[in-house]
Amino acid sequence: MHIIFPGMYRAINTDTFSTAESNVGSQIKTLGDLSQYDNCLAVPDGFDINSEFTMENLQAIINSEETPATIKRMCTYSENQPLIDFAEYSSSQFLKIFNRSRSPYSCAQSFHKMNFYAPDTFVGLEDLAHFKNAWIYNIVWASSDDFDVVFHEIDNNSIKTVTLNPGFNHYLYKLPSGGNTLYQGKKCASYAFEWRFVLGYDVCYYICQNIRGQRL
Amino acid sequence: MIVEKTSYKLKEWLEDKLSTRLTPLLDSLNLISGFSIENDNNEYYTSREFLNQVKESYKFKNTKFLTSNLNSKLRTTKGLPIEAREKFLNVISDFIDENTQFKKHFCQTTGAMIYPKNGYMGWHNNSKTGWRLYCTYCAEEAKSYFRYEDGDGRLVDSEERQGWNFRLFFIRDNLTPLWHSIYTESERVALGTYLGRDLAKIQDIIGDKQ
Repeated sequence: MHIIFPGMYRAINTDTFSTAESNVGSQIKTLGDLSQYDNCLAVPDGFDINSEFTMENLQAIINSEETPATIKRMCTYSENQPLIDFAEYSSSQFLKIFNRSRSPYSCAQSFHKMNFYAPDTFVGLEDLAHFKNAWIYNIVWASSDDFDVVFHEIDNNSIKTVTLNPGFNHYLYKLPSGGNTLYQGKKCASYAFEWRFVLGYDVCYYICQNIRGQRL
Repeated sequence: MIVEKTSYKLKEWLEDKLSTRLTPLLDSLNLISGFSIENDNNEYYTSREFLNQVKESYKFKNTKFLTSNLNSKLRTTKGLPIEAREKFLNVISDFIDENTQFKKHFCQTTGAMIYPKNGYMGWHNNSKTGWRLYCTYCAEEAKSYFRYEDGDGRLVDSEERQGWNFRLFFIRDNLTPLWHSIYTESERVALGTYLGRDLAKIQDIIGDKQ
């Protein structure tokens, strides 16, 4: 029986991804200056992104009678062919690993389209309620050491921030079942790409044996 | 990127072109059927007083007035049948493909509904950031408007006339919402279509501010 705390875990054995990372990394270089893909609206004067990640704000979200809107500032790339092509290429590189029947990652069930982050983009604290009880595997490529994963550790009753490293990062987490929640968000001060894979629902033993590392 | 909080007309000759295509479809679908509700101070949901309530509630993550997609819970609309939605989207996305740099397959229906006479939709923002082409059809000449709050905090009424009305506006992220609401004393069909984010791609169709 593995104890699974509500929070983020480092992934182990990420060498499996090294070829894919190398290929995707090369493609990122061909995209050129990533600022050309930033199509976000300007941040309003006086708006403090960090204010979205406070306990006070989280309490207001918890207290709301239904799910409130997640406050976010994100780019889209549905009109941008180089990023559309890159999303397809990079996803296929990673999915090759998740789709290998003998890979420890072969339990992956679905994939979410790639996210692109530009300076001052963020996703406020949210509960991914539609994936309750699922393990999620995240890969993030960050251009700099200023991509933060922010989440609520219920057992410590605190908001925790983990800053990822430049380059590729792997982490995973289990969304709690029942009425429990794992509120989480992200913020980025430079550029990043994110890929999310739903590993599965009844795969705790498998994941804890093969993929899950230390709690972040 | 800086986008003004405002609403634009379609260029006049394009209004005629799109009307000509939408009218036979509207007629064939028999959507106008005398749908009406009581007027019990219904315009309140487009008032400054109600906007202030919605804003205050939104600020504190309260979901009394807005859904998680920032749609209004205070509305009197009925959704159009799927077949009608698809047919309208086909006509509108063809038009967009022909006249802008946005592609047909990027166009998405974000709303396809009918308002009763005396109907309304309370203040809201919607959630998918980017340009909307908003086509509405008023069955009769009567008070009907799209009201929004501009960048200076003023309420602006974009009034509608009998027949087709077209406008383009940019749905903003929820840091700086484009608060808008609707009131109509005419039975009214409303078709919202998401186009994309790039203003340069609709330069050929964008008309005056309204």
